[in-house]
Amino acid sequence: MNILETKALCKNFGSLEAVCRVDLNLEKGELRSIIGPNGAGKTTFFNVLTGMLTPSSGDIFFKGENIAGLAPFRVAMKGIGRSFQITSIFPELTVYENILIPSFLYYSKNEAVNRTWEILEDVGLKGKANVTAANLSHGDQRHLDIGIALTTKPELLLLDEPTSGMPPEESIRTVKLIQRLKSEKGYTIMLIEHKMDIVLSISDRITVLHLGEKIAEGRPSEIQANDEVQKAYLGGLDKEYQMVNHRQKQVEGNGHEILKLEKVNSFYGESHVLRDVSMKVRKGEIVALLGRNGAGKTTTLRTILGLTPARSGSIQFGKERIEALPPETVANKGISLVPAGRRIFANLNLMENLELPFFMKGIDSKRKRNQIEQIFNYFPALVERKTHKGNRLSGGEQQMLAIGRALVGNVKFMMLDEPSQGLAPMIVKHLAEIIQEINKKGVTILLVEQNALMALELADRVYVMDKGEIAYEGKPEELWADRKLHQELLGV
Amino acid sequence: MSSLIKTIRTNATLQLAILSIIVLLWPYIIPLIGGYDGLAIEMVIFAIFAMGFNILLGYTGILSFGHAAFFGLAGYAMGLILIHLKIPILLGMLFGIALSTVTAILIGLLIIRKTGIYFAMLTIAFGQMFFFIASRWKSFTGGEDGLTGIPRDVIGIPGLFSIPIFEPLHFYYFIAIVFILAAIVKYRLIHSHFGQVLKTIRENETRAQMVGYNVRRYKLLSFIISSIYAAVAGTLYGLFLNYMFPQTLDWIRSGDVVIMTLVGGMGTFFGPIIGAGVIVALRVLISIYAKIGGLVFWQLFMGMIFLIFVLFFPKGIWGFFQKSE
Repeated sequence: MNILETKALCKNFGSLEAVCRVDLNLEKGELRSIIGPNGAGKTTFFNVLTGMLTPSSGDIFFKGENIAGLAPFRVAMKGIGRSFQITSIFPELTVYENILIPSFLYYSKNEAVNRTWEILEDVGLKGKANVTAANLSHGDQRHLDIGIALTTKPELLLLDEPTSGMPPEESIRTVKLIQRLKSEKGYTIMLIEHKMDIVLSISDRITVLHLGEKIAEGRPSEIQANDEVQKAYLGGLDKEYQMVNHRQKQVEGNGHEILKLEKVNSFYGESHVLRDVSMKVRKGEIVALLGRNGAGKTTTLRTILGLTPARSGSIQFGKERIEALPPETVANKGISLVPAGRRIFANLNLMENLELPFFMKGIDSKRKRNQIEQIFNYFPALVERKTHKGNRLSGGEQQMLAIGRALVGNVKFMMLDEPSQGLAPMIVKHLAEIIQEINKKGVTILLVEQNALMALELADRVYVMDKGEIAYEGKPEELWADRKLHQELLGV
Repeated sequence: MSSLIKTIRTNATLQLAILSIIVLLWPYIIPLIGGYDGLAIEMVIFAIFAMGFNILLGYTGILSFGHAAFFGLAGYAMGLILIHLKIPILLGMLFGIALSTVTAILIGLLIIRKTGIYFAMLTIAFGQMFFFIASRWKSFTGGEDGLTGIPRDVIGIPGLFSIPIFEPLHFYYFIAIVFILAAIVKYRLIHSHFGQVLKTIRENETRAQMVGYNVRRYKLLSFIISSIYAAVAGTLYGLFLNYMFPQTLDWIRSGDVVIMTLVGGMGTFFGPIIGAGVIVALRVLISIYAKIGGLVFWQLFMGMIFLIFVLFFPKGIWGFFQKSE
């Protein structure tokens, strides 16, 4: 029996067809993955299913009843629960309240309390019931998000990138949770996910969306073998192939160091985050800074920029000492940061987002025109998106915009914090090419990544951090070849 | 001693009892800080107003700059009916509160779909409509001169009982009882399932919808309930002054209650009560003691106090002490 059927479901934003004539049948008890490149319409599809967006045309049958266009709360009451791509919890309430309050709508008072403990047990948060949700770790918050979705007695569970932003070892915990929800609790689950290894291992069936349309559907093995999917989604990406193809470029820079950290220590309040970090980047290099979540990578970038000033040690940029300078002065010396999560202004359009740094740096209009043209040369795809609001851009477009924005001014040294986060492999590949191109034009690059593959492919040299210290320094192919070290330091 | 504090902190009934005792003894405490019965009355009236407003601002996370309209409208409506029809005061109050509530329902239905700054702007717009009616319709409302001659003689039901409230102290005990009832109702409300849902809306409106709550209905109810508190306070204010004037409906008065809630501590039970008391007392005391060249600049001081709170004590007086405990 089909629990969910969509018939010719469409959602348009102006002339953009975000979801286009999608027919999808979901069997009861099934675990279905929806995959597709960024901007394929996956989240929009979820939003239409749950009533957050009204479909432009088409029908949605849930247990035989047409629910297209119902208000979100009515859809929830019918038995569709969902979690969110960007973690959506009640931050200032305790973990317990986060689950209990929604439960009251579906259970009597006593049942609700029992049910709350049951859910907390399922998502592994029983021991943290009295913690304020905002203080949970990212991974725990993702699990709480799923827990909230479970309060509504859902028969169908929609999970939007449940493992987003998680390091591999935590993703495994989430995958186990999802599998348990399916096999032990009998939920029908549909999930959006980018991590292909997860998708291939847990799905009964996979649906592939591309530019709003369904281009393929089938068992994991079928999808893997499907040429069209390969082309649209995976872009011919293959791990081993990538490493063989590692570019031959050796350090071109004449060897002199553009950035040099020596015994740098940083703190957040009392907690000692960076411990005697020493590293150097030569002019013209691409250097990768890898490590698990919480290893101190982002803090290193923040310390270089002066956002988290170093308590001791020295940072030299060119010939100057910069560790005591305020962030804006450091930025004006030619260092820029592409922050994690991209930080695009959601309510400004693409052009406005791009123009902001020009105002702040006081660049005259002629130079501004030239630079904007240059930026669009790197990212031709952005040209036709000029008037789109930030929140209407896909993840890939947002990332391109964030990089473009960081190129404004006389940038000599660019730091990128997790540029590949939440992007489909094909987009990541494209991004890697752009980073290479920017580098060839003379910008030295420091790349922080969890996606070790992309970083290893690009980098001339690699640093790996562990618990706030530099744990490895060397060539990417050497790190790649040493599987044991690799696993120990990166957990992949 | 510390176990006593702990008992107080965990026992709600005890907390309410302590609050009630303080309020009942207030007229005897307030002379110690240079106050008088009238000041005590005003403090308690605005405490009722702010307490209700907190349901909307502190618990639901919705900012309104128009609640003075419901405060003033109830006062005017009660005043007019008492003056023209000479009905018992309690009936007059009920009439004022009912009319104000119906207005709140109609306005709420119209504007609750808007959020954030748009909602706040709409509340100002509606509030100012009533302000202009009160100040321009001279023949009916008394215009800028205000509505004078609102009687305050006895509270009672003819033939059943009758309590004089003409003396300020007697009147104080009447509003003290209203205050205690209002506090109990609010306490039960915010600790009910309804109150919990309001908090989820404040925390994350989209998610509250997605777990099945009809968010718009809850927001509307919160708006209406806070308006009823404003209306109750408004009728008491009219009785207290024997007089209503257009400024009671002004958005500046709405702003006052926002400040009281913020200074006391948004989203806490006792915060707005303390905030109202502190702001009302400061206004009066500053007017008496802080004169520059013979002129009173209490707004100047009030502005500074507000700045200090927003910058350094964002959780308000109550929130500050809660944290430091």
